[in-house]
Amino acid sequence: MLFQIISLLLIILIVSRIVLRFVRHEIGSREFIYWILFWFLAAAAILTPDALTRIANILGIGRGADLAFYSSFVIVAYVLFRIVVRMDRIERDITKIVRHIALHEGGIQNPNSKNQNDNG
Amino acid sequence: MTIVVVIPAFNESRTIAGVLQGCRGHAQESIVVDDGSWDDTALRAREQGAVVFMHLINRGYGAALRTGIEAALKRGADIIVTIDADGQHEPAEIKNIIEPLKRGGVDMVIGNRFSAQSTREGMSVLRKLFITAGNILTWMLYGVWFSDTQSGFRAYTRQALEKVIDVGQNFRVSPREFPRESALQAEGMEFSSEVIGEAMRRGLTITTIPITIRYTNYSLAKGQNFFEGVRTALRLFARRLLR
Repeated sequence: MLFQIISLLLIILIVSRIVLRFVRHEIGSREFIYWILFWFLAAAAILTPDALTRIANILGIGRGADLAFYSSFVIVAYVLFRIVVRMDRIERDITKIVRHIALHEGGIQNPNSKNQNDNG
Repeated sequence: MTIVVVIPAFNESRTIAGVLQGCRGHAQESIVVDDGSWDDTALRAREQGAVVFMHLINRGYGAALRTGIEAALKRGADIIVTIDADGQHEPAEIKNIIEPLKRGGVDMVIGNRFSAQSTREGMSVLRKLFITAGNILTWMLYGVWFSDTQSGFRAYTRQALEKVIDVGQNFRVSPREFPRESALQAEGMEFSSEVIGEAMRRGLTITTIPITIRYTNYSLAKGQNFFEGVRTALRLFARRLLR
């Protein structure tokens, strides 16, 4: 019971932060819906552990806790993948900016033009 | 026919002047891309009459090479030779490496350190292993086998580079607007393999010629270490999977 109360309080705190960030336009509506849905499901799983166990049984997993563990692993792996992809893009964007400055400062006036006569 | 040498350099103030002196007489112009060095690389290069482009921060071997190649194309190069700044290559061999391109029918030439006619000095067993691992990885990812896929001493025709590099794709703000970027996005040492993969994908003809390689303690210390090698391999795999 104590675990459920602490977990729910934590979830309420997290959801309030998400709502605040959404109101401040720091996150988009899609991201807002994702997170709200995620924490709503987490709260539902905490409040009705029997339901989680039933879903686990349907999926052929013994316990509800195991289902929660496997799901978290999949979610963390997915989030990590998205972060890696985004970081890779940011790295490439930084390189593009650095290259643009290098070419421009080196006297090439239109670094993005395909026409070789556009240089300085 | 305008021949331009492109030299990516990161903290190479000790060797860059010697490399540029060696290139003199073999190319109309030498371009040095100072990849965020904190030593006098750019100054030493300018003293030797090179055209210098400076990356504000270090972006890696592939990124510097690409900046130099784009600059060379913009400056009207017909043949572009890439050579390392640490002095491991013999600039006098530029005439040999561009020869197949001048004859025609070839788009890209790779300087091969492992041919029977190649001269090798000071190559460690570990370095050989790294290069072999790079060859195997390139074969696994792109289905082509060359005995030296990691060589930095290469020559390209202008047309070949225009195809594989897709100049002008910088600053495409929306990925939706331009759904397919060139596959050549490598910023690190994986550039060497990716350029081969991209060239083969576009049906270009690649040949190899034997070159001389002279490893010194300096160039060995500057080259790929184990962790950089692993990182390079992981990046190659990740890019290939994400395509």
